[in-house]
Amino acid sequence: MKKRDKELREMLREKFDSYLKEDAAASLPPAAESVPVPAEGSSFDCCALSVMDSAAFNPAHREMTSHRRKPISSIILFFKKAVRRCLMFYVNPITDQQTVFNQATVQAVRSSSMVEADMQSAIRLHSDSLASLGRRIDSLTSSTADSLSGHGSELESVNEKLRFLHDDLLDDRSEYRAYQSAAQENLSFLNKTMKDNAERMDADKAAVREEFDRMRGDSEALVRSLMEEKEQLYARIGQMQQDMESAKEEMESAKAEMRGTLNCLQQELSQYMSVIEETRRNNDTLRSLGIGKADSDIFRSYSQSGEDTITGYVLRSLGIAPGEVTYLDLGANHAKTISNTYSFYEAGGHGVLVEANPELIPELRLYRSNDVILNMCVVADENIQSIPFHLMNGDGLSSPDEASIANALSENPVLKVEKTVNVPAITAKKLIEMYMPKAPTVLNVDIEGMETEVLDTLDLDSWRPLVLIVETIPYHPYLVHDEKRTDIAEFLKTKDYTEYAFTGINSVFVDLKKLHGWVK
Amino acid sequence: MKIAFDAIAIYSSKDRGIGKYTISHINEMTRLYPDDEFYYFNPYGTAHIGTYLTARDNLHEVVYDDTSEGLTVRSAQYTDIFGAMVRIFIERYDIDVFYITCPFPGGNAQRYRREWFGRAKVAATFYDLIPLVFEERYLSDRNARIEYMESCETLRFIDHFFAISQSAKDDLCRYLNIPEEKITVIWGAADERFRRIDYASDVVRRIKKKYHIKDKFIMCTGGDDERKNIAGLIEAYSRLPAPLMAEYQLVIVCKLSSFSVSHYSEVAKNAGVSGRVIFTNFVTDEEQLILYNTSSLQAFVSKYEGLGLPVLEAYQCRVPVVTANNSSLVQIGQDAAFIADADDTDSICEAIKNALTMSDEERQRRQKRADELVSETFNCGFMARTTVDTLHGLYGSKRKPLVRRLAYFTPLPPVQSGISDFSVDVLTQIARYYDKIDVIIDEGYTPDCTLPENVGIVTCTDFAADRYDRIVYQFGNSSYHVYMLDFIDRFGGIVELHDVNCHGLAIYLGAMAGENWQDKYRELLCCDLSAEEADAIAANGLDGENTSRAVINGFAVRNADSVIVHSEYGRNAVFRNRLDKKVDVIPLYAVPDDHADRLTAKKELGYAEDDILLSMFGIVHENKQASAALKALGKLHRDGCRFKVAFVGKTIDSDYQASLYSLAEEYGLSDSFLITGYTELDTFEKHMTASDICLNLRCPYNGENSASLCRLLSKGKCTLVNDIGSFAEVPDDACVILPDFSSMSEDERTNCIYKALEGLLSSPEKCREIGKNAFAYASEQLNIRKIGKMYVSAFERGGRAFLPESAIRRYVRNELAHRPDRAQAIEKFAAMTAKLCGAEDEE
Repeated sequence: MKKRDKELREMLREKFDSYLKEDAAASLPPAAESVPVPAEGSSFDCCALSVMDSAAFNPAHREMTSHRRKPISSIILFFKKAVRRCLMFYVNPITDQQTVFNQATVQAVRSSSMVEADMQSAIRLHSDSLASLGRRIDSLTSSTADSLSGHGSELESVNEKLRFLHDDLLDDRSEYRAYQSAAQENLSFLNKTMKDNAERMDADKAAVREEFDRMRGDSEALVRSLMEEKEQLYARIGQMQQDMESAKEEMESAKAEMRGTLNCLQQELSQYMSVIEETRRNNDTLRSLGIGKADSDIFRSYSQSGEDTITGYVLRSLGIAPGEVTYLDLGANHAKTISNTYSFYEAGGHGVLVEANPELIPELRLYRSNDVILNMCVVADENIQSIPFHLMNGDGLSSPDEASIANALSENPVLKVEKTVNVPAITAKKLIEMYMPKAPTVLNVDIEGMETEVLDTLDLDSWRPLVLIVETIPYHPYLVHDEKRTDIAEFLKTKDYTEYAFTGINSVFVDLKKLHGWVK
Repeated sequence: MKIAFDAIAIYSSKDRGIGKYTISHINEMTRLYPDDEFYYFNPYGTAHIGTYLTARDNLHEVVYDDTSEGLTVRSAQYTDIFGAMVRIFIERYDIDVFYITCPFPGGNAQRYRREWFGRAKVAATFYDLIPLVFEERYLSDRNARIEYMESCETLRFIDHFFAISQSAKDDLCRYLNIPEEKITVIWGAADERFRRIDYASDVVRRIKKKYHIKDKFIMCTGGDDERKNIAGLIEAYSRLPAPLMAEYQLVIVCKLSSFSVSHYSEVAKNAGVSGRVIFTNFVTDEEQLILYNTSSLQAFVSKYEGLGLPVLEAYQCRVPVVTANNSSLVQIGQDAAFIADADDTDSICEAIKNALTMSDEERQRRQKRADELVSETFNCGFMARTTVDTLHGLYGSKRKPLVRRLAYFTPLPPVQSGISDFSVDVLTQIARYYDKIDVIIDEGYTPDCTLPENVGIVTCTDFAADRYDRIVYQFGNSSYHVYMLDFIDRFGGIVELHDVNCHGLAIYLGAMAGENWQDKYRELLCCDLSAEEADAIAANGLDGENTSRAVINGFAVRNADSVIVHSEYGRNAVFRNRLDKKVDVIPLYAVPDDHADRLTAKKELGYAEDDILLSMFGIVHENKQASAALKALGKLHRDGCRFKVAFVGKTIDSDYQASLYSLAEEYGLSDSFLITGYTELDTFEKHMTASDICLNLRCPYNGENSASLCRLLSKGKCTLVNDIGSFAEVPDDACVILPDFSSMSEDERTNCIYKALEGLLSSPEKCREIGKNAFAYASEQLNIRKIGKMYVSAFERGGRAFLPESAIRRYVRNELAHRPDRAQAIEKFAAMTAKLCGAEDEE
């Protein structure tokens, strides 16, 4: 074996030993394995204890002898034994009790000796640490005295700043509460300003970054000042410890005093923490209200996997604010929950929602009153007037498509068809003619299993939504991965749409012509 | 191809089907594919090669935890440690495919995680999904179900499955939606011991007597499971025509619980055949073989199987078979066996009747067919060939490197650091492996060197980390590297530590901090030392002597993803404080140079051809033992030896130079001794070429590596070094290793050098021999091409957290601290950890 490998093993062995030593140091003495001798450091007399130990056992039976010759000695011994046997009933309990008492006493003395040794060593340990603390405090005091005097005024000013900051925050908080009520009324106004902000976004971002850096600087300064204050507190603790050294008997009371001071410190710290926490909360409130932040922060996502934020980003990049967005949502499902269009609606956009499931229509009408809501099923064949629609117990899985229903049922045994209703049918072409002759900004297609048929019927050469969001994975009850459909992307590629993003569920396609500026 | 497999199947079920299957599978793969390398990842420290697996040249065993009966493998508490073992194993042996032998090990066995395998592909044998197929029977307990489903989920990351039957494959597709193309059917084989044997009549009589078998018999090798359909078989047997029943008994050969025995006895009793059905319960392997060879028919009508080994065993013993029309049984039964519907008693009865009464021609036809099936498909060779050929086809081609763009922080010439020249050489070697390398340099200078076309130069202020797949830092103990520290802390990456001890730089950084020097210096020290130790050292001020008081490198490596060092000494130094860092050891390179002519060089330097030249290279300093060496040379001169001495390099100051010259004069060496002062590289190398014996001594040692030593070795020079640091890692037949001087007096040192040189001067052959070995070592081990490739693969692997120190600490506390043989257990555990850190085995 190589020398270095041996060294490595040796080093690791020492390291592992040191783990155990650290443990041992952290939790005072290990369980006593042997009791006999008094612990090192005890003032008990070691010899006395061993004498006690050997004399503790006090039997009634002692060696019997006779100084006479045989056979007389035998007779005498026999006689003595007989007497002993006769007295056994009386003597033995006494000696037995004596032995028990002796052993208990020895044990007690041993334990006391150990306790005393522990105490002695604890006292030594404390006095050593006190002494070293004292020394360290001396050196710290001398080394920091100068800087402290210099920093005193600075500290004061930092404290002053902190107080101001605190007051400001309190003022701000009440102000923000007022904002909160006003904000509701101002939402529509904000939408307008958002549009303006979009142009200034870059400048704002830089400003926010500067602000952030400044805040970070401030917080660092705060931390520094806390550190300095901590040093001051160390000095105070040191003073207390010196007192302790001069009066060892009052050690316990001094400790209590220290603990009290520590509690005060913790309270102070927790006060600071609560101020910081409150600041954070206020910031959060602000952010949720969209005050003092860039537009991107106000745009809240309702999509399953961030499709709307991706789309929002693309549109903003192309100079289209969320409030200007129009959409056609085929298979709208819920009004808000996992909706790819609700965030645009919320931002002021509007459009047409098509949903075959009649049970979802009241919800859509309630929350999407500015949108056109159609309880229809999109089909490829214009001769079909209505179509049986299967309502499932799984969210978003209801469909007119038998195959996709069968697939869902086979994937997840918990699913079942709850009922089947007839829903008016419409072709995508007719839908567009009637409700959306001008191509919307966003076309969202989530119609279980019928995506390709519907896309096929659209005349994407002349009617070109800027962004298409299309579901591109099959349904499984588990997290689907590595099963993305490629046919949709390939088809849309022939129509000059590029797959800008894939969220794991949906793909976001963007009009290449628009991107390249072919169409103004 | 490098194929690894684990020991789990062999360890946990060596006496069961899965274990036996795995053993014969592996033995056959290693036998048939001598050009592939097989690695037996055995974390248990038992079931070694030789016990079950046949030892072969292409089969290597890697044992990690032999300290605690595989506790790190079996306890979920130590998943971190087990994961580290797998990762280290895969990386160290550059495994292409890791083969999981038992994907459902049960019990507390660790579940594998994809991230442990890095770039290696993962394959697994797939046996069956019986619990899931019959879930109401096997998974009615909620916890059992959850656990089984979790195990199923963990199978999803496996890149390729080898199913033991088409039916198993179909189940895998159907129940777990595993794509069909990810599964290859390799079938299975009965052990070779199952074959036709004509036993002596007394052997047969003895066993029949033992199990109370009176007549000819139908055998069923079942199992204690309702699925095996023993009750159905007994029922079917009872419906046989009376003459057949009178001629044949039914013998159930398998281990049964007492409950099962009474249950099946009851079934037999109710069917009116209790006297004719025999339950042998457990039999030995030998007895089982005798029973096979003496039976008239094997009836195995299970309701569901992954494979159905009893059918194949019967084929090999040339016994007719009745089996069921389900799962894999119908697939292996084909037209060699009689097929019955396992759920239909009459169908089973009919099949048994047909089998017992078939004509001799039919018997021969079916046996011939069975032989064909065994020799074509159901044999170990087929299993092994299908497995390895599939793996070759899928993963045999060269893996594409993932790292295409490299950021390489280093100083470049004209910066006067050895690392500048080093980097130029290394970049020239590795550039062809990358699309683009950017050298990230400090501000304020323009490099003056020639680099390959795809190597660009970027000033650190323009550095953008997201442009690169990997970031590498060439870090050394000098101010030229200070600019890297901020980037290491922000972006991590691979830090190549040229000096294990960067204490000198820590002092420099302290000094740069001005009046805050103490805080800065302490902060740097605390990366490696405890607060007390740091205080003690900082108390000396920014004293140069501090560098020998503590080895410091934490401020450079603490935020690195991984570390490269040049020696095992360096490796140990990093592990001392940071067990969780990944450390690669890549030696300094050397360019082999056996063309330079010693005599010409001597002539050009003004020496006579027969002059013996002894030299020392680099800055002349006392830590190179210049005085002691000069004294030793002086003594040899007084003894009458004649030679020339050259110290090639500048002296630290003129006083020291004068003292050396006066020492030479004292020993009468004035005419033979020269200090050249600073020389150009060309002259420097010429001196090396001309030298006969070179001295490259060190004391004290400060963690450095010597590029001069590499040059000397590559020129095939006989060199004296000390047994210290990286110097001691040169093989001892390739240089002369003197003891560590640190505890020796000046006289002892002189004496030591004197004796070594005396031996070498009196034996020129020995010098030549050592020189030859040095050249061989340098050209094989330090070859710049080889070293270049080592860098590329180290960059490719990148950094990952190494040993989880907290888990190791937990292990030591919880598992070792309370053992009666604690010291020994810790010693063993340290050996295992050292092995994980790259140390070799004790042998």
